[in-house]
Amino acid sequence: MKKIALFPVQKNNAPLARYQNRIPDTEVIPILAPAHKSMAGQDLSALDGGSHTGITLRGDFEKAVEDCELLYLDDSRFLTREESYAEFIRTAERHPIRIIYARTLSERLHLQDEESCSQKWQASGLGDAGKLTAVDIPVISVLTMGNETDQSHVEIGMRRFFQDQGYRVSQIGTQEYSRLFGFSAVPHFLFANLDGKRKRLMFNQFVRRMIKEEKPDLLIMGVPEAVMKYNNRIPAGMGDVPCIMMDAVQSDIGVLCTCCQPYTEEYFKELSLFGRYRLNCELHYFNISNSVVINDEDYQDRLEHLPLDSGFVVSHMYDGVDADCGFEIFNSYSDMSSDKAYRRMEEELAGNPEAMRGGI
Amino acid sequence: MGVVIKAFRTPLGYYVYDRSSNMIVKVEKEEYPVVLKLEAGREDEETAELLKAYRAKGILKENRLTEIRHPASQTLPYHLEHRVQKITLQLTQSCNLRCDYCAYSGKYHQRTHGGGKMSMETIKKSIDYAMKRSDGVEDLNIGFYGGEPLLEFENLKKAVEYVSGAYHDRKVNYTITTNGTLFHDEIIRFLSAHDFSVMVSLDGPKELHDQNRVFANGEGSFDRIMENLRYIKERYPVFFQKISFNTVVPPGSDYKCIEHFFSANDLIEENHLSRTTVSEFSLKDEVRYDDRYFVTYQYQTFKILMAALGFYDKKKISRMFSTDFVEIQRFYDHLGEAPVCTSCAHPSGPCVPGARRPMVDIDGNLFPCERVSERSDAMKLGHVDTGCDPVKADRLLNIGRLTERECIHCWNFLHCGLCASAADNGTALAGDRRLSYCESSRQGTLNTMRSICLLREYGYDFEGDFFDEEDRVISGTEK
Ligand code: SF4
Repeated sequence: MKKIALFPVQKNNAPLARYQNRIPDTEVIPILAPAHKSMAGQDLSALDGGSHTGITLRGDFEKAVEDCELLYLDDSRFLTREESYAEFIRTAERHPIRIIYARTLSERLHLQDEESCSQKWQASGLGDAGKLTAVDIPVISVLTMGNETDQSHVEIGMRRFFQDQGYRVSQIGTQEYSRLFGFSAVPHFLFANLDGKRKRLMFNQFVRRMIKEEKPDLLIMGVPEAVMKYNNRIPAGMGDVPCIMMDAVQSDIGVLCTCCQPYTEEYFKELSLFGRYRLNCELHYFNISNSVVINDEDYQDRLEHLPLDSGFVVSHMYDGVDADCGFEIFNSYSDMSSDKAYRRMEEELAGNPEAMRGGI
Repeated sequence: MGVVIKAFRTPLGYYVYDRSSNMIVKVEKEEYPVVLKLEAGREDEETAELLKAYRAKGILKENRLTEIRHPASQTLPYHLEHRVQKITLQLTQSCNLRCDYCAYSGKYHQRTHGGGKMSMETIKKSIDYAMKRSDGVEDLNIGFYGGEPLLEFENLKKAVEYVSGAYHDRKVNYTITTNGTLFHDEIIRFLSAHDFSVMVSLDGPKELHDQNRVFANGEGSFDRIMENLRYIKERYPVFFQKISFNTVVPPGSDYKCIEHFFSANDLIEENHLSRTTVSEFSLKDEVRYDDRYFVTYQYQTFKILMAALGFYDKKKISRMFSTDFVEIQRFYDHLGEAPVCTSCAHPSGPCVPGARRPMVDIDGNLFPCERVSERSDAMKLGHVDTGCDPVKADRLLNIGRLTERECIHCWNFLHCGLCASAADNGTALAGDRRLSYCESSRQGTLNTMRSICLLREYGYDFEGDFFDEEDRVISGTEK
């Protein structure tokens, strides 16, 4: 059994540990950032707010990496000092361990030759074909309103569901550990300094190449970065990357991941329309994450989040919305509510010959 | 239910602030009397027509607010368990000074100089308490407070050493508020080595500072502080830069003289400076600022506005008042955001008590912050051994429920700023006490809105960079 150390484990990468049974012969050891050390010894669910896993959170970095073959080192807002990383790297290197870095971390640490969790599907050789070509399998896009929306958990949970139903799934993941699950992360050229048209054409080719090779029944496309600005002071990526990807590959179903807030039906209606006109895909599925955006600071120029748990979210996610509103509102950490949503997607795709044909 | 608006004028224009959109809207002179009728809740054909026109633009919507409830109420237990951002330790209640307006002077309900100090056991428990409950924040802030915390330097040192040992890889920022009389080499080197942010209380020139800030024997503390500061600046220039100053402006002071001192003093010309007024909350006797204070304040505000418009030299703006402009800019930046358009909301003001910046007193009792009365049972949130009582924290968080009837219809709802301490009468939380501060809160908001409109009328560019970050050295807050 291969052991992978995951450091620091946090909400966005916790699915790597939670779904480790989807990676053959592998055990993932989740190790906490110092800020979270008080959770050491507890179940992973204390961190991600999901159901009990039997996977223990570790706080003892050195001991935990001792018998691991691989260390996946992720970027974290809880490790703000580069020296802290240097210290952990030095500690890990005292053992025979291979270290792979999240792309944003290797950029932050200015690492050049280090191994990053690279693409399964290389972008090299993608030319400018001059036109977009239809992707003729059903596509489900997983979009986000920002950070802490459990987007990666939705991506992997959905993969589990459709694979368990017997579908061959191709996937593009927003997290760079996607490769460990056997699928590609979002290609780096989408973040490069290229013009939007070229990115669209390249991404379209990238996806078609992947589909040609893997011959899947379904593509689950994780779309990084917020689909819109939060406000003028927190513009995020202004929704550029989502627009490019959604233009390049027509989606049949869009799932929007968002934090837990007191929403109204009108709000979801507006989001749905936003999807139709801006993202080329009407939105009917909304994942409500185990986090809430904090509003108590008088003036804030960045978003802060409060971790919640699935029980709380499930009991409040329909507070301002009628259960029969037509939108599928779910929490990915609740198997009952997420499986219901995924089943509805399956039915929707099966009943939609257009989707089966795909096409732009 | 009507609309919740505030009509106001400047010398050049007529405006209405609309709570339902959190926007300031310019109105025609002829419309203004109709807007005033709307504000007063009088309905007729004219108001109906105007409302129709405004609503077509998505503003002046019907007030849907029926219940006061803070949005963080449901998630309060999660805040208390995961998001303690700062913990302030009251190392001691003793002080070597006897400042006239100090919380411990006997003039306040909240404290007297008791002479007690925090044990090392309580210090460690307090640190553990905060560490355990701050996994949702990047850095934890630990503040040392008193009395005069440097009287307990040995315990302060041990506290920092405890953090360095037990939580060595956790990022912690330290702050200390001191009267500045007790610095010596060992203290300076220690605070510097641990990157402390130091706040020294300094009230202006000797004659004013020494009126209030005296040693127990009645001698003024100004000379000692200045001597210490000169020494630090000479020997530890880098550390000196991290010292900021807070000046408490007591009623009846010679404000011009204070202003002049801070503008002309070479020693501290580059350090951050904040201005506070004497806190009225929890004071036994009423405190009144005379007209001279307000005249000085308004004159300084006027100069800031003139400087923003290029009619006055920016460098000549008073250091004590210059970042009041930052507040105007912030107000402007947030217009249009988070309007009151739901049936349930809470006026701005309260932070999440027990999470944002809890203070631990010498006995381990938890309070929302260091500004509240430690003698008020309503403010006591719990103990480091047992944690915060969520019911008590909820009561402070939802302080607006005490004045629900008034707040539901108040145009100042989003800019109110009154927290639970304004409702604390020493024995209980009282709605009438809270309401007694409404007028000054509304007046402050109105002044800011007028300043914004005036600046706009004269073509000020709010997207420009009149004050950059460097200028943000002063803030006008209340102690
Ligand atoms: S000013 Fe007074 S009435 Fe208005 S919101 Fe604040 S407390 Fe309520």
